[in-house]
Amino acid sequence: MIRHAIAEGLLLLRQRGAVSVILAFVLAVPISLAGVGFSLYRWLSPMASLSGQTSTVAVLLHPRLDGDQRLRWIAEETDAHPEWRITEISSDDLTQRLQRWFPYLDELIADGDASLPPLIEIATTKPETVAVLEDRGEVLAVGPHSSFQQSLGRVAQRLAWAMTALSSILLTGALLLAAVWVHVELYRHGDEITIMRLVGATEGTIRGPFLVAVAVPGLAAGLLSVVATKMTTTGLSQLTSALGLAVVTTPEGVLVLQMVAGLLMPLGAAVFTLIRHAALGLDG
Amino acid sequence: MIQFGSRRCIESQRLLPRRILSIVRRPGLRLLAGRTSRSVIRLRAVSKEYDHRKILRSLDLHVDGGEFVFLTGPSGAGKTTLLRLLYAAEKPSSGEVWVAGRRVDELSRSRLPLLRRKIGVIFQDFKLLKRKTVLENITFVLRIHGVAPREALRRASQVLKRLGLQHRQSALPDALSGGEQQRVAIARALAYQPRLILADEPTGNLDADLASELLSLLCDINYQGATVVVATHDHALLESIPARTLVLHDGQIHFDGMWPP
Repeated sequence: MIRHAIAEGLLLLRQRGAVSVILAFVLAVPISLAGVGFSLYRWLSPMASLSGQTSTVAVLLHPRLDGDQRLRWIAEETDAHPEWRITEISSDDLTQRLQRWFPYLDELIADGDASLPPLIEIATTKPETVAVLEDRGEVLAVGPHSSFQQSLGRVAQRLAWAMTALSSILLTGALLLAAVWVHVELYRHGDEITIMRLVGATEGTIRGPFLVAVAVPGLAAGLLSVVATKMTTTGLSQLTSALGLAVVTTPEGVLVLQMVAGLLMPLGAAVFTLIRHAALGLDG
Repeated sequence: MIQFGSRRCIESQRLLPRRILSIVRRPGLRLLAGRTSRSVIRLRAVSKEYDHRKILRSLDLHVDGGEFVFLTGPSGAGKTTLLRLLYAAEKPSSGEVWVAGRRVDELSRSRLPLLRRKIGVIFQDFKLLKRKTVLENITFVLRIHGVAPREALRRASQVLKRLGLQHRQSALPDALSGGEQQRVAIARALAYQPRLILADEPTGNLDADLASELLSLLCDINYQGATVVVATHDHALLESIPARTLVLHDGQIHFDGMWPP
């Protein structure tokens, strides 16, 4: 039966050779793009994870606030914003930090009665929320509260989601394409299938050639998609390397999945259509 | 008009009861078989309706193994429907259809091929595989019946030669005349030597000589033990050999007996 299925399947392929080749290419495109999409998703993932990292925002408090007032204020803000981790920087620590950037700080402080305003640091995963302090009387200034890393991470995350959605849409498109193709091909042979049933062919005998006829272009589509994905990711890697970024890689598992998808999508569609054809009882 | 084969058919019909002839030919098989295997076809109160139009009305029929039966009647009498019920292309609206000891109307889809392999059907519209040559149409059926490729080729060539189609074996069905297509359909039905042959208007596209040759062939196969049911409204065919004749009219059997008497 297997030999018969292969022989008859190859005959069907020969009869529809050009269409099968075109469809293998057409099926390979969305599968390949889905593979590239997943590779890009993986490439963007480390950047996307930056969006969840903790950022520290510096806040200068009014110099007229004494120690008790500062502590009270910090306690109130901690209660109001539990997600903030507020740390008061001691004046020594602050002086030490500033001296890295401003070597004449000691002289400046020694010359006059200038004193450094109290500094606090707020560690949070949502630095933009610190902006609310800008309007408070106790606050002299709020440092940069837009993290570049976080912005980059958010963009990367959105791109990664877009890639996932695109890959899913492409795979669904490929499945629909395979289903329509197989459906049309089988209904083109509907009379033959009916005659085969009437002369005593089992469902296995009927399905075998059609499954072979769809498995071969499906396999070809899978192979083509793997080659296309590899070529695309290699091209993208050359580009990212030139920009000093990490290379884009496709895991072997994804390539295997592409092969499996290429093979199984038309096969699944064929089995479904043949079962439906049999269930309808189209016996001439 | 009818040649050697049909004479044997007449002899078998007139001189020896069919069942006895079958027992003589295949004693082991007949003695082991039960009552249902003797009756190849059995219909019990079979009715068939299409869109509330009754095609068959409470039909009872019993055909023994090895019988040669003509089924006749005007167009629309239900001949084709009756045959379709026998090869399970249709299910009856009510009643029981038994073929080769199996209740056809209750057979599961997976069991249908086994039944159909016992039946050779000559379809009115031929039902040939259009993408296959004449030879391939026959070898294909033999292959799905489990015949080895070389043997399938030998048997197909043999049956084509018998039907005078050996010179057309490489042609596609569309390149054949109606009569030739009819003969290919007959060749396909006969190639795997089924126990039951159902022929729906088999001489519809044949000239008188070919029609008598076909009848001779069917009689020969009947002589070898197969049950043959021929649906026809060809009066010449009905008159050519005495055989059990069923006259269907308005979905009911109006006559069941030997004709010509």
